[in-house]
Amino acid sequence: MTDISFLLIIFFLVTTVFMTTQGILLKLPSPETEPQRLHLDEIILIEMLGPAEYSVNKSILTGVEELARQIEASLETLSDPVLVLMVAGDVAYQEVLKVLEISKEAGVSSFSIQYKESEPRGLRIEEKRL
Amino acid sequence: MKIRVRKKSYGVTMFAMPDIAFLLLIFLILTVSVDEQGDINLPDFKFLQETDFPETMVVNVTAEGEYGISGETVDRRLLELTLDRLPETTVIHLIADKESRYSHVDGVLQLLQEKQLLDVVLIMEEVKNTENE
Repeated sequence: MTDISFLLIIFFLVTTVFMTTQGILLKLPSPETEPQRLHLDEIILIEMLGPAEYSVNKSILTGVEELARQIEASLETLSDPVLVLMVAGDVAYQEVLKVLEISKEAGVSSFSIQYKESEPRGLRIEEKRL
Repeated sequence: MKIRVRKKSYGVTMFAMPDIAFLLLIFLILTVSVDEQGDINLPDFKFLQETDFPETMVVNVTAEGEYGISGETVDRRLLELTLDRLPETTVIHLIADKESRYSHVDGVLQLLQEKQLLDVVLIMEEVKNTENE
């Protein structure tokens, strides 16, 4: 009995030590704060229209490789842009993360993810500069 | 005349050992966290951070778009009631299935924003290296 209980203790100790959580930390914008205003030439606008169907700054693309090339091309002309990702409702969560991964690999450091049908959170995109 | 001196044993008694073992066992069983992930397949991502926060609450989103709290399925009303009671300093661990629609994940994010729970960790797993397989 004692041996069994010691074995169980060792098992619990080993399994709890290795239980760590990994993820991405987000700080959501407060609903009371004024949304950040960004002009169209400060952003890379990616729309996820469906599974593996993207548009970068309104030009339709098919395929992840083309998307990566477009982001890299945009980064050459813009300095430290914000990547705004507009996602359609039926796109899978993993697909959204895949686009984030590609953008991060390309060198984008600021992101905003918006669901197409909902109210934008903390960001207002303006066609013309005020 | 030979005087016999009784040798006294100074060894540590081990009678209490099983009791200690059982106490430790009960402690570990009670403190180990329950399976908060449920039936959810975590999405993978390359750039992850280790997260360790004292005050956390786990919100789940299944592939079918059902909500859960710490692995227990709840409806939206109950989810809202639970989130209402949390202090604003609580860090929410959002565990969503990789096949779930983004609209369901966004629904939870909007709800958290409404309840002023602004610190969220999207729980994922590291990309597995499949090159050697």
